[in-house]
Amino acid sequence: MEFFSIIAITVGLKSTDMSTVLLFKSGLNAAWMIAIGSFILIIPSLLLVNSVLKKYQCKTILEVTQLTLGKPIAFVVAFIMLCLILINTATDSRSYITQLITINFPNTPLFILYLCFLALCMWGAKKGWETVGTIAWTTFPYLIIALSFLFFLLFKEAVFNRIFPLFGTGLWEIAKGSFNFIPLFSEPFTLAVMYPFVKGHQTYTRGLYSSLIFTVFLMVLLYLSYLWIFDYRSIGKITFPYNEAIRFVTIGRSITNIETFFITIWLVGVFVKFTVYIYLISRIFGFLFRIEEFEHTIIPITLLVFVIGLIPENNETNIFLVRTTTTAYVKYFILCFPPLLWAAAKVKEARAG
Amino acid sequence: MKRKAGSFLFLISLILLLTGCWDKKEVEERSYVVAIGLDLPSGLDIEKEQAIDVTFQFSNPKLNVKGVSPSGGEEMKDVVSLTAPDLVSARNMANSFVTREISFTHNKVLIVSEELAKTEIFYRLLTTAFKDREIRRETSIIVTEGMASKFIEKNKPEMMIRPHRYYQFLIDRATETGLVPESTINRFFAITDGDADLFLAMYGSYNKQKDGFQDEDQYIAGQVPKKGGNPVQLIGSAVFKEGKMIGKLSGEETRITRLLDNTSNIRDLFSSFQDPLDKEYKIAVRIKKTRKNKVEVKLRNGPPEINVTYPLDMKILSVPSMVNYAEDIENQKKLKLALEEKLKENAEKLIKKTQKEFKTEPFYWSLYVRPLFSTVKEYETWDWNNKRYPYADIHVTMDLEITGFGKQFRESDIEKVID
Repeated sequence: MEFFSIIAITVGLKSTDMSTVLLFKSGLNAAWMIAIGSFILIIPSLLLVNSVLKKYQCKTILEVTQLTLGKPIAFVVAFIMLCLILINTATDSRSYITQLITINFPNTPLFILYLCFLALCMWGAKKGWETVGTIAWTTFPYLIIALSFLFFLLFKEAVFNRIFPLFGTGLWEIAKGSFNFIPLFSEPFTLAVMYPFVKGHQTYTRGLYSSLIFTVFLMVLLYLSYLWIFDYRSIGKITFPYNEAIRFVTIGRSITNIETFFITIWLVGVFVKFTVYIYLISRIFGFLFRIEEFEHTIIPITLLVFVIGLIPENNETNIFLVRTTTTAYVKYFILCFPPLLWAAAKVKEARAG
Repeated sequence: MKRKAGSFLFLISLILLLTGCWDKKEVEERSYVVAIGLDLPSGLDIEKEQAIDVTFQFSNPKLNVKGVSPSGGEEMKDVVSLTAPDLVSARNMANSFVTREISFTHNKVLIVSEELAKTEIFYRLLTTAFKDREIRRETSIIVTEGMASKFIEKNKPEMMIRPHRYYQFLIDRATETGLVPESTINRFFAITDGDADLFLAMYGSYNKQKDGFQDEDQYIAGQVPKKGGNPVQLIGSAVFKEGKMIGKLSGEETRITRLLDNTSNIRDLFSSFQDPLDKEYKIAVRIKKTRKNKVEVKLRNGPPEINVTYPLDMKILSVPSMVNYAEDIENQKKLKLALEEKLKENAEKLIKKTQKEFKTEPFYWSLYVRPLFSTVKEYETWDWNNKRYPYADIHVTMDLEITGFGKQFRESDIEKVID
């Protein structure tokens, strides 16, 4: 269950941040299809990774790599994974903080807010994986309640025909977009590092698939609501659609300005998300440099994230430049690595048998 | 030792957190703007220099204290005007004489003078002003005949001292009766950026007392004959095409537009029609729209064909001619036919007007064109608003249901009474 909520939070929250802007840019009003398309594209990889993990019970994906492909390759893979997830975490967290500053705290310096934020995430990560899971699971229902409430309120304002023309930029463009946005679902692969922490293989598989399907459903619904209330041309200009959407809704006509409610709960979700990321980084780092007690590396790693996050001059370069270039590589990694792993495992098995 | 270090860290973090409230502002320290007025600056050439007259109306926090009666007779100085390069910087400029931080978070309306709305600069100003985090999408746009600053100044709400409530209620009620359109900034952007339909904004005016009596919804703002009360009126709408105001619609036309538009709903529409059996009198009816319009667009070579089914529910409220409609089925049929005829005629007249005058429609019908295309590119090159709609064949079919005759189904027998 904890695994379910962790995946749902880390992946699902992407529909509330700036990746939405990129998504709408490439798909216009068919952005929601791209989310589904990307999900369909990663299914084969997911299945392969899963079957390999099943074979080597109680091993992380990296240990499996080491067993099947040898130490040097495992080192390289882990290193690539580390770099990607590190950059991703840094740019993402920076983006979320900018989002918070732009909308809610115009006077607070980025430095301080970012520091406070990461300190809290670090503290959460320091408590260990079990705690992270528990936190995720306890906050999850509240997130869902808030989101359903938001959907309900947004429905009043929605104009459903805005979904047309159905295929937006065209089928071919959507297919290309789906391919480009595969990194939306990179978490299931990086989270495979935590495989031994889940109760059993069945729990893992069930948690993974049910959570992903649920998350895709949520994301699509959220993208559709943005589309329904803003229309496709307008949405391209909005930097933070989620924040605009929660500012737009009112309960009746006298209870307006209710965004604080949604912001608070959203923020809790964001904390969980980055706590998970930081923990993951330190875990991979620990594997890479053979550190048994990898949880001690959490503090320096958080600092590293902090420093990297501060490098870009503004959030727009951060998102439009850094994010798009890194994600360009992530998708090949996601698409190529699992088949390789699977083939290697097969070969090994054949040799042994 | 460990405990000491822990408590030390705790104290340090307290220092960090407690001094860290950069954005803490008490309500006392803020001035909440409830209405923003935008005008063209007088005596400045906006072609050469970017400038705009901004008027702020503040809510008066003193009046919100419970139990304190507003000090009577004291003139409220809560409207300020200034000339600034744009809306966002006007906020700080105003601080040269307003002591508190000016906040837009509770702003309800953006009042724009007709003169400004007709220039191209209006759209530029609005889109860029929108980057400001405090301007909200549900703010309504009101276009005024004459200066926006005058509109705010002349506005003396009766019965309501708190201006934020006043604007909220004014807009809510006026949109419920259908005499003005719903015109939030969100809708403005959705329609203008979609570049296929006309956006309607509320049209307001302060009274200039023109004479002449017409049917209740034939007026545009400023012409409703009345005595006393607030000089400010909202009726009718300003028509925006591609971000620029190009014309206006009367209250009646606005009502029809809103009835033909599925995205807006009218709650409470009273109207009057000529009595078909006794032309001297007028029948008062209450119109309700419970069913959605059906809009079918057929693509053909040449102009498209559009079939609109326009369902209405009607309650007959007063029949001063004393003709018995409730019990006499024949009469009822005649009445229904006549009403349908009239409604259809009105709708067709308006459609013709939009085709000829504005070259596109305010009914948001592009929504029904969209499903016919599979990609945005095809749809946009087909160009609904400029190339297709003005030449389309549009057929309106009425579907009227008379659902009731009020709580007194028969008028009294006038001859007996007079006798």
